[in-house]
Amino acid sequence: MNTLIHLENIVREYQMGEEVVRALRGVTLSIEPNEYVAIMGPSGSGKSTLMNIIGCLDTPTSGRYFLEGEDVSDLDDNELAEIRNKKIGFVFQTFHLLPRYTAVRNVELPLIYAGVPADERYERAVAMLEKVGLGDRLFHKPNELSGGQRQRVAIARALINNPSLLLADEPTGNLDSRTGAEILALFDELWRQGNTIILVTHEPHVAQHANRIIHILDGQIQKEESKTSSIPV
Amino acid sequence: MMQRTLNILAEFGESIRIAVAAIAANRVRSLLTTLGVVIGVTFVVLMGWFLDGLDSAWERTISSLGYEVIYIHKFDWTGRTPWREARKRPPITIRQIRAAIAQLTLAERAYPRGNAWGQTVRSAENSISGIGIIGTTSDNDWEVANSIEAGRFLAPIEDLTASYVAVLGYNVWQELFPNQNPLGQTIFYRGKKFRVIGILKKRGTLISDWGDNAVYIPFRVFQLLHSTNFSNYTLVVKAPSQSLLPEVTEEARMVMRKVRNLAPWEPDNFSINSIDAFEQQVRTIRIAIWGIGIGMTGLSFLVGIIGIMNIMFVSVVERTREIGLRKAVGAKRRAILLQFLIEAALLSTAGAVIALLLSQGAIAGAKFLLFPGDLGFTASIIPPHLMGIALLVAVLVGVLAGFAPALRAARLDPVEALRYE
Repeated sequence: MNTLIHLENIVREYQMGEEVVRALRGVTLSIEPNEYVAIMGPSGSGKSTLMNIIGCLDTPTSGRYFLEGEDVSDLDDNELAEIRNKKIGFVFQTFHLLPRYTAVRNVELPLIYAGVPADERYERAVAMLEKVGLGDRLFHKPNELSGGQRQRVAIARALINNPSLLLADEPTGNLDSRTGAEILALFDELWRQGNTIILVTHEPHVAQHANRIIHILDGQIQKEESKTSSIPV
Repeated sequence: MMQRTLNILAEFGESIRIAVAAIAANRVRSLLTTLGVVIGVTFVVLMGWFLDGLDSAWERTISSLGYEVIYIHKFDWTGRTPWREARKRPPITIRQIRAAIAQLTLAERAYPRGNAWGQTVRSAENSISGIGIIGTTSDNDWEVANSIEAGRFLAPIEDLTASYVAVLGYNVWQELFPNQNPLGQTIFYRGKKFRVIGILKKRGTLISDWGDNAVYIPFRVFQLLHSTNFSNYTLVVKAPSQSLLPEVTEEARMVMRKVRNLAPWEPDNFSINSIDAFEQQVRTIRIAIWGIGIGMTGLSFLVGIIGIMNIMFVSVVERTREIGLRKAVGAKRRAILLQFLIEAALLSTAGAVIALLLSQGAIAGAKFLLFPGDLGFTASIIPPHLMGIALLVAVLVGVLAGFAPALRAARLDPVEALRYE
């Protein structure tokens, strides 16, 4: 099997005024297809920076990043946008849904930038919303949906273009514990269907769902835990 | 290639939907923003309409002078020779005119004309003053060739025999013979009876309606009714074509100098008037109107551009998170750029549409109130070419105004934009 993600000695520095902040200090990491990985660490540990680089929202200062064998470390803005569109689905803590759009239109969004014709976009968006259990909420706007429903719309959006990788940044951070558990159950299900999932979290019980936990501290991998299978709720 | 086209089409459609939604969500703000464009486009359209009308009125007015005709007269019509100076010139006498006509070889026709302004004519029941009495011959028929409402123009025999007949301009017959057939009726001028043999259609425009306030009588009759030292005689010379006018003019000048006994070193003591002199004057006026108009239009478009640019910058800031999300799910710079450019262009075009509606109202009103029935200002709807120009300019203004904000949006870093509070 081809390695999905291969990070080689990734360093990310930021210029903060006079000072250079080293958010990542040489991270080396490989993730295979259909892994369920949690990245854990306290705030300021560099886990968000790592997620941004894995998600192709940002590029490393030095080191190499291979996504499905392709070196994406030095791509420009537009090339990265194309990679994100085709290969990565994002789920954010704050959902990031467009408030004036219905659920269907929100889910269609990545397909617009992929150049998919309108009819096909609509059909695929409807099918995906049914898959995440929102078949009866197709034309609701975000403010007409509960937190859990909003996150399901966001997950449907993340999955719509069949990405190689689902990247979730604190997906349960804005949800109550019962709704959070439902969302995590949905992730478990998606993993069982063959998706590769990377969860970024600081909550141990969320991380427990993954079969591999990577602990980040001060911009470096501190330790890794592996399990043979994830723990269902 | 195919995929690229599909991408751009999908992005374009999406951009228009976003733009419509964004403008609809901020109606009042959008309306105020486009005020500059509204004023600018209104200016362009109204000015264009007015100049078009002025042009056609002018064209109609001077075309009755004839493009291949010169008028040799004591005074200069356009004031190139000051009146004060021209006044000292000896009058152009009938004897001189007759002598000149006999010597001209290149002209198609040459004939005398006498004008008496500010005259009063009467019918049995009505009278009208401020009338121009024009004494001329049948050779003047070209001037009214397309304007005979009924009857006919002067015949050669009527000049030779000094018949008391008259051809009435539109206003004259309307005043003297309301609701009657004037042909064969009698009018009175300087105590003499004239038989009406022809009436003319409306020829006047906003610029001048002398043609409608004129009465044409045979030249010999005119001569009998006005004193011998009457100094307002004109020699009319018509060239076979406009292209031959310069040669005809030059010959006429030489002949006139001869019959007026001018020594070689003396300047002309008469003026050769033609449409050309008028046109040069009008060209200057036109340029002045355009200059002022373009200045004001430019200024309002500048205001429009600044207004739209400002609101687009605000819009970019307000929608930073949206931009971040769109980039995260795969929007390239081009897509974001397009989105905001289209929004700006649509905003500006909406302004133009409002302006076109306003202008249409203004034009219909002006046509109805100011120039009803005027032969120059005939258009009561916005001419299509002006509409096209207005919309084109609006799109251009929008794109110009939207470019800097759109570029800023397109260059936003997705990580920063997603985190923006």
